[in-house]
Amino acid sequence: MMTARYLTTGVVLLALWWLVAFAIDHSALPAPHRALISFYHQLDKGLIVHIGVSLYRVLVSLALSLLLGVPLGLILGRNRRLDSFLAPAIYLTFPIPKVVFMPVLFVLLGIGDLSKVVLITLIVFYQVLVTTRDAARHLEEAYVLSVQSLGAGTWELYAHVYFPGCLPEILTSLRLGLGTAMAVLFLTETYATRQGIGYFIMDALSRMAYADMFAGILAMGLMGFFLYLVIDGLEKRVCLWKSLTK
Amino acid sequence: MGNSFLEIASLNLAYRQGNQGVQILNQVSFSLAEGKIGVIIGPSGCGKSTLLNVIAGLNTCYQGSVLIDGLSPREFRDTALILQDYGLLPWKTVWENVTLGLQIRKHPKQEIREKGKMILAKMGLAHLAHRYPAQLSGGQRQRIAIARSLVLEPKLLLMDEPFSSLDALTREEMQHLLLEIWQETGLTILLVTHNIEEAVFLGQEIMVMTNLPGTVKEKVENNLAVNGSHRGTHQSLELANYLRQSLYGVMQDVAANQ
Repeated sequence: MMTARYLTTGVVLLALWWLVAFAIDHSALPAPHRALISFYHQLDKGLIVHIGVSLYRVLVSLALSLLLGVPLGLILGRNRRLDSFLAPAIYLTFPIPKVVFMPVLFVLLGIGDLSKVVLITLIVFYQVLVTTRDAARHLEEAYVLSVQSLGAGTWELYAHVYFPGCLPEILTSLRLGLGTAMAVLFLTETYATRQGIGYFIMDALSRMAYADMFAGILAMGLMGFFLYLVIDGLEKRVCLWKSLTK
Repeated sequence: MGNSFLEIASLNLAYRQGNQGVQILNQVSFSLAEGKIGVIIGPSGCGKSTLLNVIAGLNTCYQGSVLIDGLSPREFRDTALILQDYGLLPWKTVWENVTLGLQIRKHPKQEIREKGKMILAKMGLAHLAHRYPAQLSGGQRQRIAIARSLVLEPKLLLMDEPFSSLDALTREEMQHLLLEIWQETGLTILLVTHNIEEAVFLGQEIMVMTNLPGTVKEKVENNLAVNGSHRGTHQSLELANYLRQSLYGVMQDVAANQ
C-alpha cells in the first residue's frame, strides 16, 4: 500500500520533470529519460565509485557526530552545573554557519577526506548535541527516581534511562542532520577533489554534459533517499514503544 | 520503643530557593514497627513525597535521624519505592521493567529468569510479559510496578499515592491485592495517600501531616485496618470522619498562616 503510493509519487515527479524540461526546452535541463539512460551508462564508467566515496564521507561524518554529540548531550542535559558552564559557548557558536570554515579546514587538514568529514561532522554534531541535551534535560524525573530506587547508580541511569529515553529525539536529529550533511557534502566536493558525486556533477557541468550532470544529481538524490529510509526504519524499530497505544 | 523498624526523629529538610530557604519538613518524628502498615495522610504540598524520598535514600539533604533497622537510608538496601505514576520505563517491556532491579543489582541470569517468571505468574501478568506499558491499563501498570518492587524481596515498601489515578473499583481491587501481599510476606509498608477512606482501610498507624512546613500533627492507631472486611462499616466511617476533622483543622491552620 505504502510502496504503491511511493511509486505513484515517483512517477508523478518524473512526469513533472518531463513537463518542465519540455516547456523550458534547454539543453541544461534534459528530459528524465535521457538522465536515466546516462545514469545507467555512467554507473559502469565510474559513477559507482563516486557514489561509494560520497557515501563513505557521509556515513563516517554521521557516525562521528553521534559518537561525540550523544554522550556529550546526555552528560550536559543531566548535569546542571557543567551545562551552565558550557551552555554560553554552545549558545554563541551554534548559530555560526560552520561552512565558512571550509577554506580554513582545507588549508589546515588538506583537501583529502579528512577536511570534508570534519566539516560535515562539525555541523551535524551541533544539531545532535543540542537536541540530545534538551531531550535529556526534559526527561521525566519519575523515571530517574524509580530506577534510582531500584539501586541504580550513575552508569545504570545512563544505560537504562537517559540514553533509551532520548533515543527518539536522537534519531530525529540524525534524520534532520542527514539533509544538512548531504548539502555540505556537495559543497565540499565541488572544490579541490576528483572524487565524489559533487565532483562528478561539477565536472559534467564544465564539460556541458548535462545528461551526465543529471545522472550525478539523480545519484545524490537516491543516496539521500536511501539513507533516509535506513534512519526511518531504524527509528520505527527502536522506538516502537513511542507509537503504541492500548 | 525497642522494636520499631523505621525510626524518624526530628527530621528537618529545607530547600534553597534563590536566597531564601524553604522549610519542607519540620521536626518530623514517628516510628513504625516491623511488619506494620503505616499510612501518611495530608494535604498536597505537605512534603509527603519528599519524606518518602528521604526514607528511600534518594534525598540526603536532611537533618535529624532516619533509621531503618538501625541503618541510614543509604545503608539499608532493602527498600522499594513505588511512585504515583508507577515510574515504569515506557521503552522497556513488562518483562524488562520487572527484572530491571535484579539486572541492576547484578543477579545471575538464571536467577533473574526464575524470579521474574515467578513474580509475573503470581501477579497474573505472565501473558503481558512482552507488552509495553503504553499498551496496558492503569491497574495492570500498577501491578507491574508492584511486581518490579516485590521481585527484589524488600523489607520496607514505600508507596507514594500508588492508587490515586485508578478508577474506584480498580483501586479497591489493588488495595485488597496489597493486603494479600502484606499478609503473605510480612512486609513493612509505608503508604502516602490523600484518600481518607484508603487510609482507614489500610493504615494500622495513620500519620496526619500538616503543611508549610510539613510535620506530623497526629498519629492515630487504627485497629480496624488490615482485616479487609471493615470497608464501609460504622466504625470505619467514624474514624474517617475523625480524620476528616483533623485534616480540616490542618487546612484551617494553613489558611490562617497564609
